[in-house]
Amino acid sequence: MNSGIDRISLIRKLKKDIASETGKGSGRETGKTSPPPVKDGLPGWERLSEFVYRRREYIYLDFKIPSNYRYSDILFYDTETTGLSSGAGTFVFLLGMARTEDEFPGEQELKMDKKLSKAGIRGNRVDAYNGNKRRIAVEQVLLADYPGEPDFLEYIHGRFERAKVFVSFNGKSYDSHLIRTRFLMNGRDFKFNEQYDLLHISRRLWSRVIGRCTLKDIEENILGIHRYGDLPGYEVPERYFAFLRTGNANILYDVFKHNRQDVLSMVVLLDTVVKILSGENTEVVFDYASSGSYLSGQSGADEKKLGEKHLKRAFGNGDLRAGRYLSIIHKRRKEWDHAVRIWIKMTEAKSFFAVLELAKYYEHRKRDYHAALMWMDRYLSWGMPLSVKDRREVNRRRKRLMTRAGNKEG
Amino acid sequence: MRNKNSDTILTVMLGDIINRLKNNRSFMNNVTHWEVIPERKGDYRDIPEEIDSRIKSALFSEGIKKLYAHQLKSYDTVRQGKNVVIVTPTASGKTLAYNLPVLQSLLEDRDAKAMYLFPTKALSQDQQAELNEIMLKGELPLKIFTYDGDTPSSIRISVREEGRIIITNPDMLHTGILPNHTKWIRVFKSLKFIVIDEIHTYRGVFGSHMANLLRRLKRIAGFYGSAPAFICCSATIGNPKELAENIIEEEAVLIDKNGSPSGTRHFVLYNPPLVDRIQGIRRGVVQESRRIASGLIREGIKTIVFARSRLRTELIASYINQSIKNFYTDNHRLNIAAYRGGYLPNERRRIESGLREGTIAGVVSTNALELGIDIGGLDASVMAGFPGTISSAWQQAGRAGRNSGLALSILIASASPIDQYIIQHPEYFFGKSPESGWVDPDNIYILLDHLKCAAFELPFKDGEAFNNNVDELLNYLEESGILRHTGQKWYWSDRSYPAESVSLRTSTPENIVIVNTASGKNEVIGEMDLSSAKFLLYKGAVYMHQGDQYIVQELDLENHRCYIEDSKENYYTDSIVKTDIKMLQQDEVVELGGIKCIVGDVLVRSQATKFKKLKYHTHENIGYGEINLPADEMHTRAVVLLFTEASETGKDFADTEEALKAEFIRKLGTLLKNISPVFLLCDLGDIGIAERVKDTMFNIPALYVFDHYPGGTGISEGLLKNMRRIVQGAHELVSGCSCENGCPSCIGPSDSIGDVKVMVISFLRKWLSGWQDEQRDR
Repeated sequence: MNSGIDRISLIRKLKKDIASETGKGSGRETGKTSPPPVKDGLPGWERLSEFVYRRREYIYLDFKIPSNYRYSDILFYDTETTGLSSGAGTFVFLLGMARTEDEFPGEQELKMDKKLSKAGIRGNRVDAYNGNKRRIAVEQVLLADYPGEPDFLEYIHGRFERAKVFVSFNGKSYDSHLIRTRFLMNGRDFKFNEQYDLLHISRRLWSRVIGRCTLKDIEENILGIHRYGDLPGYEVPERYFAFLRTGNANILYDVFKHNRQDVLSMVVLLDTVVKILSGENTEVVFDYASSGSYLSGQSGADEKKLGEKHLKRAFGNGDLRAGRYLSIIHKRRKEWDHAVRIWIKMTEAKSFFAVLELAKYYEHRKRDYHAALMWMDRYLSWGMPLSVKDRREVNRRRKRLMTRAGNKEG
Repeated sequence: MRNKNSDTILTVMLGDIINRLKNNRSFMNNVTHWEVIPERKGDYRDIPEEIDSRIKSALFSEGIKKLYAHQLKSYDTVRQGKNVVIVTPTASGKTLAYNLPVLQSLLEDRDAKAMYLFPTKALSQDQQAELNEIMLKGELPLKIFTYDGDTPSSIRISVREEGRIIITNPDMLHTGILPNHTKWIRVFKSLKFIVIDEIHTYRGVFGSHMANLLRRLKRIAGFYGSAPAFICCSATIGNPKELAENIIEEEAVLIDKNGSPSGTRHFVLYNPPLVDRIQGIRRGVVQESRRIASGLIREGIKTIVFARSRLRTELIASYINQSIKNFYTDNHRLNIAAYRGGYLPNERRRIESGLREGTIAGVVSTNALELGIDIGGLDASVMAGFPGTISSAWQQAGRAGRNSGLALSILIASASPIDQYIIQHPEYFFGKSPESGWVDPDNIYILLDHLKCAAFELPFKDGEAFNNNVDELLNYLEESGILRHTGQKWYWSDRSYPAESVSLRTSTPENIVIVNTASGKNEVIGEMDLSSAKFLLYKGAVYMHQGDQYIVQELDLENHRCYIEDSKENYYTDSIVKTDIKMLQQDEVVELGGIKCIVGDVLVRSQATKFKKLKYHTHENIGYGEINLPADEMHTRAVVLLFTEASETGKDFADTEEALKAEFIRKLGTLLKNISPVFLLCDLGDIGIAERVKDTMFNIPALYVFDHYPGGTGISEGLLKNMRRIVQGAHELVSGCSCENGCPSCIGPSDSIGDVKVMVISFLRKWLSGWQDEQRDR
């Protein structure tokens, strides 16, 4: 219904415009050119070509990366776009990148960058300074108007080509597709190497703890980074359109700041995640059951061991999911005593899973049908709700156990 | 699949029944016409040498050793790189007519791709199943995928990367594929064929959208360097070549000489007997269809019944089931299905395959089965009421009959004037060529919508043509702030995704899910579009699904759910709908030939306020219920014609007998509606009319002609602009019509004794003479 009204008003306006223009005798000249972008220049930015600008700074941070990567392999990146949907009409107008070099920085640069980091990033983790830092080149590339896109992409291509691992927050399913679309729209292609998307692992570690897991939520609740006067993401496209109309680059400064912080937060976030997953001490809260199940599913022996440790800790705190994962690990290894101990512990919380596992254990392992039946009956006596499927399962099992128990006696 | 032998047996059985009907006096008393359409011999040709042996072996295993002439012609023409339009009735092997050249070309060129467009999802799935069979039998190395809203995201990548034939629908192409064309680069780079099946369904507004969608498709294909050829298939309509060429905007070779054989068809027009001779009341179409269809099904004749509404579909299906169950023991196993939109896909697939495999003996359907879904050969089709257009009637009749043997089609008239006219004037029905289809791709409303989508997909270059030069419209879009013109290109410069807010079809895509709450199951049994739900799923409504009866407990519009439970009531329900039309804004007032015409925005409001409880079988009214649901509102554009007494024509109207006034305006409206599509290039269904003997706003007689599409598509403006030609055309049509006092082609069949046709003619003559020099030339 509303679309009906919008449409009507749109058409009415169009008709009026065309009518008034034809009335004047001369329509608007077609092929007129829009005002030039970046009217008063962009202080602090280098102009790379007619419509492409770059800003570069160095920041020194001590941060960890997954042990199977080298520092110089990694490129952090984040895009700002003209729309929130994907599709051929959504442009990338700003790309923020961060990469490290392997060598440690010299004294001279350190001093200079101390100043920079003070001005830029807040939060204890980033500000802490202990001399063991790596030099990070933070770079932002701006597309100041659409016709510059080929140059913009050419520059990005040069940077991307060298990277072996792309670290992003939701880039695997969003930013990377958008960038690839831009390349294809300009008659070239770019295939991303390995992608490490921080969104997925963050969800595992924290969605139980903090609920929604946007980068901002994680910064505030986990990393202790607080943004002041940050531009909400949904306002980004409007800022860019306003800039295109007016050529006033000041409108974009909030976008630059926002994008820069996104990239830097990713560095800190990666550090935190890597520490958690390698068992280093962190004061950060996270979901041990979830990290435990993730780690114990990995192939490395160290990871498996750490995973078990996390699960034990979570189970110690009464997390039944952890008990479940842990008991399954033991069961697979046929460490029955361990498994049974966990199940019995879990029955204190009236876990149906545990009761069922105990019943199976006594029936098939021990052939102690009475004990198995006892567990089933005990569960029923608790009067817990049962799904139709589970009830069917219980009834079937009890019936069989009763026959077997009877046979054994008889 | 049945074999020849059982076909022969069925022909004998059906022949026997036809003879019995012919000798049945009480049946024949109601038959107004019995047309025998003689059998046609097949025109066979050899399968071309060059066809890949794998395709040949697939054809052999289907029992196909020769092609029909039209299939060969289609093959040859497509292979020459030309566009084609194939016009063939149902069961004439049209699928092979397009699959053969496509498959052959795809096997020869390892990169080539084809895209098949079907108007509905059901048809896509059907085509996928059919192609898969050929693939399997011939072990062809071609991957075929259906890409629509139901395609799981896990296989979407394989569709884009590996698919050689992509089966989809216009809506998906519009919102999913084109705006994301970079993901489909493999397909667009070597897109060789576009198959458009059922092209006759793309008429009027829908067709104009389709034409613009194809402009976008060609533009994107061109961007990646391909220029696909079009293969279109149409049911029999008045102007298939013209319609197809207007939609694809390229020349196409017409192939309309059907080479497939068909058996003798008996087409019977049946008018239910009068039960009250004085008042002219006839037996109801529902009961008569039930009686006739049950008779056929009991004799083992596979029958399809077409009903005109969902409610009637369910009613007739449940009646047939009852009357068959009562018959004798062996019939318990006869399975009659109802089929209509709103069933879940699985259920529909089950019914379709049941029909093909013969486990379902009969089906009652809405026009959902009118299109080419493969349901195998049926023997008889019964139309419970005239389906509205001649071309639909032939499509529905065509669902019965195989290539050989007999087919029986029975059209049962309802009491409506159109049905009564058709049934009493068989020469009209059998003599008139089917309706033509019109589209207007340059309709500014529709064009502008697609221009936005096209700009999103790829920036426009200065002077680039879409239909014609569109710089002026692009300029307008830049002024509205959604494009940016720079560097000789027009760039999309808005955060929105334009395809999302442009709907190709009139109906809203929102659905209500129907949940059966009986015994705490909460089982979803069906779905229904939002606006229909307001008229069919109100609280207290009896809802039928596959003959089972439920009662609606609650319709939760907010959460799009309808809760129902089992019901054993002995009645069904029917809502009473009130339609209001209100002028919201007057944009232009002009006098045309002495008639005041106002163009403006209107609000068309339909609301179900009450419902009737009707007893099964007798259909007597046993009570009412209240409906408390919001009205269905549509803002659109309309022209209102006001018959002021100051004008000659107005005086004429004022002098009309009171009793005839309403009918007179209605007839005039019907006439204008009938003639307008020719001048406005729209479809009959795009126009609505509402007559008021005394309009509440203007206090004088008024006739509203409104656009059926929310927001309007320019029909009202077109009407105003072309009014004189339309009135002239209307005058010619009605005075040249050979009917006595109105027929469906002119003012609509008359149901009164007054001489309305003469009145309309004289009115139009006066109107035309009142024009003189005040004619507007805009």
